[in-house]
Amino acid sequence: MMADLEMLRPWIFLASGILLTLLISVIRTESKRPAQISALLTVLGTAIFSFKSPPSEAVFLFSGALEVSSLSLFALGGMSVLAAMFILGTGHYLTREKIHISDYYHLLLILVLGGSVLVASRNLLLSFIALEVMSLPAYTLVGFRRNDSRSNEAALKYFILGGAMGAVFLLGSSFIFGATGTLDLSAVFTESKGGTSLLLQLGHLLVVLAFLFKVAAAPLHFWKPDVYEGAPTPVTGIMATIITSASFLGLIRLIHMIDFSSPGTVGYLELMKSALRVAAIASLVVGSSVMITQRSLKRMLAYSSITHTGYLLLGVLGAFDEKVGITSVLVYLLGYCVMSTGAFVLLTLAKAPADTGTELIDLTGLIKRSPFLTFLWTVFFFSMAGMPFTVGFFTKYSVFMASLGGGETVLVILAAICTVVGAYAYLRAIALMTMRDAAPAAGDWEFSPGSQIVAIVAAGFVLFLGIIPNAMIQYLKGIPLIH
Amino acid sequence: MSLLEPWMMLVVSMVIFGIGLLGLLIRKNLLVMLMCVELMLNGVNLSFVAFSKIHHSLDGHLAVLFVMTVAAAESAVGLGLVIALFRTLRTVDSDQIQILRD
Repeated sequence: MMADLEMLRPWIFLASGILLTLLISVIRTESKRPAQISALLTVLGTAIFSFKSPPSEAVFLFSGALEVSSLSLFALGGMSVLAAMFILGTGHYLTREKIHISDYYHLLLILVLGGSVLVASRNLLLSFIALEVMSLPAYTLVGFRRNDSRSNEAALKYFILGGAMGAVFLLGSSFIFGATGTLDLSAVFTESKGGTSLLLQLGHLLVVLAFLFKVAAAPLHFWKPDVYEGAPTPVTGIMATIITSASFLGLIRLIHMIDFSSPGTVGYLELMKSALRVAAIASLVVGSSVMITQRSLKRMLAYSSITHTGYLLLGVLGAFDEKVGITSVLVYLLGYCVMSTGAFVLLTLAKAPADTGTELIDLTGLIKRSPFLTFLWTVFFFSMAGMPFTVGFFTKYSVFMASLGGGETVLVILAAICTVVGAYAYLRAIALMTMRDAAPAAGDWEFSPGSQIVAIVAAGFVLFLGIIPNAMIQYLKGIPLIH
Repeated sequence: MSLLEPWMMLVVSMVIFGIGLLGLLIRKNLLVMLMCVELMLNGVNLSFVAFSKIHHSLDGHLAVLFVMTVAAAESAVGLGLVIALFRTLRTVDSDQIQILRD
């Protein structure tokens, strides 16, 4: 039993940190600094604990409900690092928007806890609870600018749709429970060896549907631009990175809970693949075509992340053929999280008036006003467009290769076309910064040491992993999905 | 043979879930939509109990307890958000809340 608790050390540390931060924010209501420091130390400690001693093989705790493996610890560590970057890099935004209160920090930590348990969960009931533990703080964080009606509207939209999709997730779990008599994912895997019943297929589809909503794959993406625009920018960044990665890893886990190698599941495998194919095509086409029409920078990044969902689904489709796919999804998620963190931290520097939000026009003539910001934006835009020598190039390359390995040639050609269309939007933004004079309406950009450092670190990773990707790929290859 | 067969419970649970889903789609009052989400969760709860009865397993009953807890937390957050929205916009009609669009 002691050995079990030993395995859980990162989660226990995180949970204690949440309680400490909550306690501090209750006692020291007038100052937010102690809660901020406590939250930062908590996530850094969690990251150290989870990266320090990755287990050589997976251990299953609580009757097999929680999996402590290299994947779940990598996810926990990664999410903690992302949370640390956002805590470090976005304090000035919260202060400027007058929402810098200590409650922000324990909500953020609870979100990380929910997301990491969602990745580690091997039980549908635990998955549901983790999903809600991740989502409930997210709803409140989205509505954190509570005197701003746009923030309120975004939070409520996210809440109603998220709550309904949570119920759909639960309905699917109940059907799976009805078909197999258990909520344990590995038991479902064993059960489906002899083929799948209609009830099991329906339940599985509903659960996958709920996850596709969480990652905002088209045609379930409609909430994303609105919520991204209405939410405070740091929260948008947290949603784009932590929630997206947790949901994607949970989605892959769920897809693989059916044993698709057994002959009885051939029909269902085809159905599942075509559903994911439709979602991938729709996300790529909608994301990249609507992205080039946007005038708001934040909405453009929202549609950009819908496109990234499409590329990630390519990797998921490749993942049906064993381990190549999951590596490519991990590579993509890592690269995507690094560049999104950088981009959203930079976005918090824009001093846009609250009623319009950050427009693309704010970028005009940025090179004259701040060459350094221009350079950082250019790095992240290049990476998102998939230019060589940035991490975005290798992430796209690896999902394309995985998808080709899965026999999805047409899909990859379509994705390549969408990359070109999307690149136009990013290059247009770069042209606005470098070739135009500042428009009279262009908003100012703040200076903040914390976010500059975070953005520099993110840009450094984008370039480093783009030039020397082998170390990253080798490391991620050592993380298997199924034990 | 008991009076209440599991399939009857399943039919009722699906009807409750359906009413919740339908209400979410057609009603415009945010408070009613919130109640509809709760209705969907309760419909699923009933189906968990029914499947539990079929499989003679306690897992479903256990799930219901957790789902009720989560639903309570969810409605607390939801009501808070509705109140915050009402303070700024003075309405709970979802048709009149359309500031965010393309």
